[in-house]
Amino acid sequence: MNIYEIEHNREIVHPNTRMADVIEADYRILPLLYRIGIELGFGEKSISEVCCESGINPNSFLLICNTYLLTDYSPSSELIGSANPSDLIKYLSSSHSYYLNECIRELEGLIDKVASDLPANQRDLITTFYKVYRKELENHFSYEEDIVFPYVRRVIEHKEENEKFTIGTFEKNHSNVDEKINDLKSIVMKYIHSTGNRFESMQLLSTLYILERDLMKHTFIEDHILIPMINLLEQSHDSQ
Amino acid sequence: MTANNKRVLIITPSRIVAEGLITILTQAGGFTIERVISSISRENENLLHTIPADIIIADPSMFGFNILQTLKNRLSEFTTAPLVSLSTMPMSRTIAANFDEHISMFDTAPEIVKKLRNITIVDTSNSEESQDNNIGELTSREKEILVKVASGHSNKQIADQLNLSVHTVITHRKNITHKTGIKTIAGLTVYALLNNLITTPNENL
Repeated sequence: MNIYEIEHNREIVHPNTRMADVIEADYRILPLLYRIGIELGFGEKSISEVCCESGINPNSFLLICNTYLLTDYSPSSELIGSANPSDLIKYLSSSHSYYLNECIRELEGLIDKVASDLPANQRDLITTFYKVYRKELENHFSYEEDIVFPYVRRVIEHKEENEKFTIGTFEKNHSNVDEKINDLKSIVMKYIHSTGNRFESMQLLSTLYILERDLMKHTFIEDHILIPMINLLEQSHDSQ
Repeated sequence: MTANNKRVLIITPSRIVAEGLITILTQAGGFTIERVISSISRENENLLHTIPADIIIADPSMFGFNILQTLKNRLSEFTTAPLVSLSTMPMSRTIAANFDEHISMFDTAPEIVKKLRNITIVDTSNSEESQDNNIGELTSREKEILVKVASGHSNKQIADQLNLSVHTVITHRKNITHKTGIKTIAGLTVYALLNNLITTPNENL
């Protein structure tokens, strides 16, 4: 048995890797391409070619992509320093709309379908649990969209001035949004039984698995890429 | 490999340190190296749940104080295994306080082995009914505690009401989460209602 995880810091994709090979390596990065604004039909082009055509810094792409590909990723400070923070903000913001408009809508349809076959008290429980979660998720995202990202944009443009809010404030307040998805997964898998909707129950469970992983990666990008990146910018502005 | 071997999880970014420690423990006998991981991230925190370990050895230099606190809290959710520091440089007292034992790069092999053996001698005084009980159905004690959690009681309140130590309540809660796969109070409340352990929902949901 190999007791070692994936080697520390091993970045498996490089600017010269063909885009098609990246997807071939792990198709779970497809939603990422969608959210970052890369379209299919890129032929034999490499990451850096496709990124340049789409107006994205290839290093920004590598950071996000490696987060999704590696289980034990620790991004190097060189890569963080050479990426473009505006790409990150654009990506994170477009991910927020993706979660709220695409994922949550899909989830809602499946939950309604699966719950429709349950006894009334169980149906109410599951839908209430879900609705409260959705509200929490919306609040979490709007805090980032309304407070954090505008601040980050000011830092990028070097227009922040003696503000009380810093990226450290965000770091302290940042919470997980995937725990209740994990709970819902266990509940759907082990504790309810929707006999009339076997297919939808299975679909619901896979959707929850995908969303949980995606949200964990999303939080990782905010905590381990965005925050250090903006920290660096804040420091360089302070020392000027 | 015998059943009584202590299962060890090593967290260090250094391959040299890991290999050295593995050599020492393998030669001493009585230890099985379960896994070596190079760092802790949100992603592999979940992996930690799946690694059975009796001892967790971690290099403190790779954690900031906040990360160490988080790690400690996370670990306490699913394991009671002692956390041992493997220091490559001096560390502050606040950092040191997070560990149950300390080994240093400059300890001799017998010293390291002795420390690790001593720390895994089970303290039977507070093991109560909760040790080695993290698979299968919930026990009646766990159900009793789950009901109180779902009704909004804190660990301290539950400990006082049931005449247990807070430590024991926390161990029960870890086992409940481990068995059910449910982490949040709202999720546990849904579980309790679905399984008719309580009948009326409350503000936790």
